[in-house]
Amino acid sequence: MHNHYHPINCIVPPHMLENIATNGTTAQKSLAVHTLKMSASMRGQRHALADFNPAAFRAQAIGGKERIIYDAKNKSTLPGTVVRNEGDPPSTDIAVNEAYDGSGATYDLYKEIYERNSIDGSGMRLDSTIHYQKGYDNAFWNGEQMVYGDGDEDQPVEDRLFNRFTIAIDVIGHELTHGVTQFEAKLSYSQQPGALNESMSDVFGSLVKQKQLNQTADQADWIIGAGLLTTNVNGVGIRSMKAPGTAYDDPVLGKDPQPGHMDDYVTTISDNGGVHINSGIPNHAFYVIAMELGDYAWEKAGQIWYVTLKDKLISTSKFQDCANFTYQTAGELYGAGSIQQQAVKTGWAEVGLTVDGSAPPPTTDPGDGCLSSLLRLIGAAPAK
Amino acid sequence: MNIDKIKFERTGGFAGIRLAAEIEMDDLPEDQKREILDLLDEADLDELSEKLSGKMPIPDGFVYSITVESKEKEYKVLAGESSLPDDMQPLIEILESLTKRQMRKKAD
Repeated sequence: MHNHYHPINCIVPPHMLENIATNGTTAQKSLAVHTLKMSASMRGQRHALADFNPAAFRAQAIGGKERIIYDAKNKSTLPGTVVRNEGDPPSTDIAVNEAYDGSGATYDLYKEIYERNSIDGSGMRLDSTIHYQKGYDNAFWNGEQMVYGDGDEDQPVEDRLFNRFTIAIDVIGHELTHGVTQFEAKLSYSQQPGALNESMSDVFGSLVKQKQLNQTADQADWIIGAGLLTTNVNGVGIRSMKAPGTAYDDPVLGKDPQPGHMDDYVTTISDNGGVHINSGIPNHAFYVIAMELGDYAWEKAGQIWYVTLKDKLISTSKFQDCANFTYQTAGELYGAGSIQQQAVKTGWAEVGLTVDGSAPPPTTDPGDGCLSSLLRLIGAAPAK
Repeated sequence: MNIDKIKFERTGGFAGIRLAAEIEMDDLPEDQKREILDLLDEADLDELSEKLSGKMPIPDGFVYSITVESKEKEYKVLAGESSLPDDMQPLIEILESLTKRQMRKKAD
């Protein structure tokens, strides 16, 4: 029943609220109910991000690549002060240049390989803010722009775990791809659809890096966020698409929790239902397919993934849907029974999913919400 | 408010690396303890649910779980970072810093 929710419309992911409403103390339950009510009352006035996005108008470019880099100067206010416009010479601040070059490389991959003009397909301006907050160990896409922290630069050198988040170009490709997903499949950011959303960002983030390094599939390291961890950490990066669960194993940070097979799927209420954990499964499927096909991964494997993200996946899609859709797409692009289609089948089989090419899932959203889910839970609405 | 313990957890974010600690108030220096209590008062946990309304999870945003335990009552807040009011930022910073310190200490 989880896939009937629209968590993007919820304040707290609904699976968390459901858990609180079921297991919480009286006070917690009332908080959960209240939160859901507030959320529901807002819903009438709110539209899906991609349908109503002021940034899409504000950041409309005249057609080509247009980037603006802002500096938050260690504060939380977005977007901050403009520090580099499209065409300006490089800055003395390395983070400015990394954000500029990385968003440019990501734009180029989408334009040259997939014939997509920016995040929205219509030349939307690429806005990036650097130096967000102080000691901020993160990067994110806020629905309108990319935002990067400086890692642990406020800590003593021997205590630092993270470098600045612009240091790895695949992080930039990852964040920008969240924008593409927002305008296309609109995968909700929770549970399996959320893990697919994450995986799409890792896949295209890695492809941006591979394209920049001109690497074939077998030459690539398939590591996400290489260079992001300091030398104080025992790890090569944040995630491994080649061998999920092996990117780091550190006394402070713990061990990379990613599974690479459905048998090891992690059920959790943390991390919006493990979106950064279970993404290891579709990540690894993509890796296997790219290796099966050889050459440059962004060509055949990337094309299959891009078309699937653009034309097939919907907000509630799960791993099995993605397997079926990529198989279908490979057939449409390269022919039924083609080596590309066979490779897709092999890739998903490696992670424990058998493609079903005969029955495409429905392509409309069920249109359910968190309040109705909660009302069903507390018995105020009929069960489905 | 008489608080015994704060359980803090941060998950999600680009890295998806979990930070977690149980912070015993009695283990803290008196001035830090008072600072946290003041910030908790300002955060107004009873009203927090309303403050949290209307925000959606953002891709790669952190997810916070904060449980405040006292003899009389337990409060639990689960929220994405985009949902938290700006005036809770200083409290989050202190809790994160204490959590990181505790995790480093455990690793030694």
